[in-house]
Amino acid sequence: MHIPDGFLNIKTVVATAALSAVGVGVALRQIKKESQQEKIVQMGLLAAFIFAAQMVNFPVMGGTSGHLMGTALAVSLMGWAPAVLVMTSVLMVQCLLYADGGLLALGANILNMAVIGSIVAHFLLQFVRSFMRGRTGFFVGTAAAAWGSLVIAALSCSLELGLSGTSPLSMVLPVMTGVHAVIGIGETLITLLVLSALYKTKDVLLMQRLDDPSRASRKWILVPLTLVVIIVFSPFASTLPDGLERVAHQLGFEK
Amino acid sequence: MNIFWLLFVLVIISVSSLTHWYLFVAVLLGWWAVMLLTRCSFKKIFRKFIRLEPFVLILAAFSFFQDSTGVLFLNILCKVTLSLLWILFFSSVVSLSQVMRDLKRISMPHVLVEIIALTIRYIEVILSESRRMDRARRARFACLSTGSIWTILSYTIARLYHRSSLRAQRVYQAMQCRGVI
Repeated sequence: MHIPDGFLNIKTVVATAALSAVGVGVALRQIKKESQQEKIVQMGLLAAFIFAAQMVNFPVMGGTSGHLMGTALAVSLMGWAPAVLVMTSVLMVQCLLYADGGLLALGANILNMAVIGSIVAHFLLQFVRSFMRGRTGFFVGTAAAAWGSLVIAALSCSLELGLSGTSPLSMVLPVMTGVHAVIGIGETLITLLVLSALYKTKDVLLMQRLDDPSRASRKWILVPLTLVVIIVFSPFASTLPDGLERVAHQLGFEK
Repeated sequence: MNIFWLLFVLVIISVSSLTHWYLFVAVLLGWWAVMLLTRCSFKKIFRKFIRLEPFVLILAAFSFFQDSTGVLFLNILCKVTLSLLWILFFSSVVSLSQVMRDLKRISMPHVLVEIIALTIRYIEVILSESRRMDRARRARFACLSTGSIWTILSYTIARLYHRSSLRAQRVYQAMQCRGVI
């Protein structure tokens, strides 16, 4: 999902860079409130871990392969704000030192995978945890977060490509979302596998997150979730007239 | 070559189009010149380029649904290929310390620079720990059966994370002592 340079036009490059700068800025402000040396070390380690995990590709279908995005893993271990910074550093290292993803498109990549991915994963995790308590809620929430964050990031990526005029939105959106819906299953399995193994080793970070009683109110979670559902499903909406419009057309009282 | 020069070249590529084809040619010749001047390995660059180019071709092929003449396809292909060549050149000649210097020069927040520095350092920590664990497994003649492979693999990943996090703390203190971060 790393967009290379040349696919996005200048307007999209500037807009996505500005939005990602805001997202990273908010995350940095959140971190500074609770800045601890140990937390920064953990963020660096998690970023390196996700970087290494992203190098392993798994086959999906029709000659396509996918790899772990890792945003949900970072959110479930550290929360949304550190996850934004972790993913941002992963993407910057990949771009500057390994030429994976473009430099002008870095803002778009950070926006998709770090900012949007982390926020979606956070809300999905919190939403499930508000219904299911304890370990089960955490793991089910993480599974939903892993799949959801990847699909929404792919959706945002296809929107950017469509807006840049690289390819028609009606074409790129279903293809990107469809392929990433399948890759999302692999993402979910790997994330759960790593988390369950960390649970067995009683990892300190995971134990802290499991004990964390903070849950957002359901009504505040429902607003972004509704937006997500609208964005995901609106491209699949039928363009045919609904029942009333059809009857109106047949009986001739349509304006 | 620093990050600002690369950004300048990428912006030129991004605003150019096939109607101003001479800009594409100039950028390509510029790339050729810096490759020769810096004695960068063409073989190394092309090996990476061939791995990334198929993905570019697939994405660029979507443009045929918008413009069947192929002009848009060629335009995108030229832009992406040239950008890729320049980024590959940059990533092969630039050093980590120079990237860090450039990031500090553009006033990137200290916390983010620190996390990036730690990420690069910890990649090596994770790789060396995984090599150690692999050596230990081989020394015990451990043989993975198909049934237990996922359980063992997930446990190994978790142990790797745990061991790396213990070593990470010591590495961080050593980096602070040397004034790296």
